[in-house]
Amino acid sequence: MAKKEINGEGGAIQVPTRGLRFRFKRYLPIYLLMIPVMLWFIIFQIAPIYGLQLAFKDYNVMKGVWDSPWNNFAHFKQLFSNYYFSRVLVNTIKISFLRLITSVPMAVIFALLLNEVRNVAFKRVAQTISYLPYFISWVVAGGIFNLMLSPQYGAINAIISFFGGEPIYFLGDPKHFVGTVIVTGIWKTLGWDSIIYIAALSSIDQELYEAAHIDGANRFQRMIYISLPSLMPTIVMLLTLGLAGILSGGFDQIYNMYNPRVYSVGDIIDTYVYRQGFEMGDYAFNTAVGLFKSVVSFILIMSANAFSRRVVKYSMW
Amino acid sequence: MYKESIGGRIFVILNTIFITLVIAVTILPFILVVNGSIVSETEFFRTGGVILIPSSFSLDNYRFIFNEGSVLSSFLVSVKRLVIGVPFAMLLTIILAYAMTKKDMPGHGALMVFLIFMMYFDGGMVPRLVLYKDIGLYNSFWVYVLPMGISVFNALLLRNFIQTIPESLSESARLDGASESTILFRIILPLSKPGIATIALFVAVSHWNDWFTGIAYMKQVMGALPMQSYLRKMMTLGQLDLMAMGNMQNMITPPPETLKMASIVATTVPIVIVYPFIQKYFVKGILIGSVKG
Repeated sequence: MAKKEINGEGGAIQVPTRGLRFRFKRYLPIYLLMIPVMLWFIIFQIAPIYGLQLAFKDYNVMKGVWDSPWNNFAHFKQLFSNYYFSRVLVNTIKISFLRLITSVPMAVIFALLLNEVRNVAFKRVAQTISYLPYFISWVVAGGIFNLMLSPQYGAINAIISFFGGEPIYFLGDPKHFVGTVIVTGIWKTLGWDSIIYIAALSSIDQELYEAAHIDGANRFQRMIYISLPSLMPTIVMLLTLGLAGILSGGFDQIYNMYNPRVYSVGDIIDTYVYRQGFEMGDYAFNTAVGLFKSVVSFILIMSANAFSRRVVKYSMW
Repeated sequence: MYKESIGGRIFVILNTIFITLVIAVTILPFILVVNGSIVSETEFFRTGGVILIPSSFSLDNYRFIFNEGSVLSSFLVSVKRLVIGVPFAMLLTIILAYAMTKKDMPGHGALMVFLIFMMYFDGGMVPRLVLYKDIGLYNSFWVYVLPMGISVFNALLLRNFIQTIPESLSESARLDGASESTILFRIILPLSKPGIATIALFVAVSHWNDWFTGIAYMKQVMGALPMQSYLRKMMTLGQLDLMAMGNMQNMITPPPETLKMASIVATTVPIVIVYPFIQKYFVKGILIGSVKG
């Protein structure tokens, strides 16, 4: 079938929108194909929402999810008076915020400077290497940093000792943990984050640079007065999205780098929920914590998208 | 070409130095880990782990970890989930992406709203655990495959790709009497090969890198975990656990640090080998996605 000559005249054939019944019939095969897709969504995305009722119940393993008694929002009333919840909430926001205000400028600077490199081969090698850490998991990256930053046989502390310094417990000391998380986080995502800026830079009209050059602007001035302003919409958008993700904090990274000594500063909502829910088996309260995070994040992301659509004319869908 | 002023030339030199430094800092941890895993125990302790150019060579670390049978079994779990999981995810993703391109399909608007909700609302880890226990996925191989069926984000990327195929192709096939499923399988699929390959790579990398499923939703039997989860377990083992492992194999246990380095290398090598080939597809994919579709 359909092997006949295909008329390649782009857009030559106009078919007016037909009636509802006709379109139902036409798309019947698509509806049939969509059955397994919708089944997948029901089982793996919607059924867990059913489990959310645990957040409003006193979970009893013997009775199961459905028959456990309702507890009149007891878990939610407990949330804000719970010492650990306030602690992980503050830690999460602090880490996300620090991450955001450092990683966005770093990626912009890296993109701007990479954009100034004229040697194509050097530029390509630099890009390829800078994306690499994005492709390894946080188990691997966390493992590498745990080894490198160890006060005993870690390479970094060997160098510090060589220059006469005292070994630093980067991952075991609450004073250093957050900073270490931020820096290693930038190590992993700097190159990847810069991709979107590099793309935006390459779409700038070259005549702008020519004109500025004729007017006597040097390289640095061209970068500050032409390249940087062109990136502003993208920067605003990514900052907005980053703020919307403020309750995430980076589970994969923190779970693979923290330890009980730094819980006071490094424990975030997701790591807390995981530890209490999976390792301690306290399902109900942690479902409530998770639900709080999901709902707030969902509202934030919707507002961020609305904001970004209005202000920089970009929306995610 | 611009004629560079003195200031311009200084800028170029400083810029080159800066970029070179960034590259060095990015690559150095990898070099230190690889070198640490292949030098002799004495060199590792003498240098304190700072080895830029190894002066000795020993495979003791690798011999030790590969003698412990569960590494190979973990490797097979990883391969098996790729072989089954990637086609499974691609089948669902292709159907969904194609349905998303059909703007005049009744229900299209509702579908999009539904998908955006699915993309940003998550039930959470604990309800997921309860569900997996209820439906028998907990501690089953299928927990690696089935939950990773669809990523709405990937489906959106593929939809944007399919939208670049001229509508007139499907229209003329339709006039020739082709049904919607014929159009999908005979016209859209063959023309979307590059897009499908890109998304398949995304899925494959996320399968390979997923360590959480094995840790959270499986009983902790090393051989049933994929490589990444195995590595996560390995990283938390202390010297005594490792020595116990050595006793079982009648081997002398190398230091925990270098053993862990060797495990890291073994887990990461497959990614690093394919990385240069797939890197440009990822960049292309992320750019298609960021252009408003």
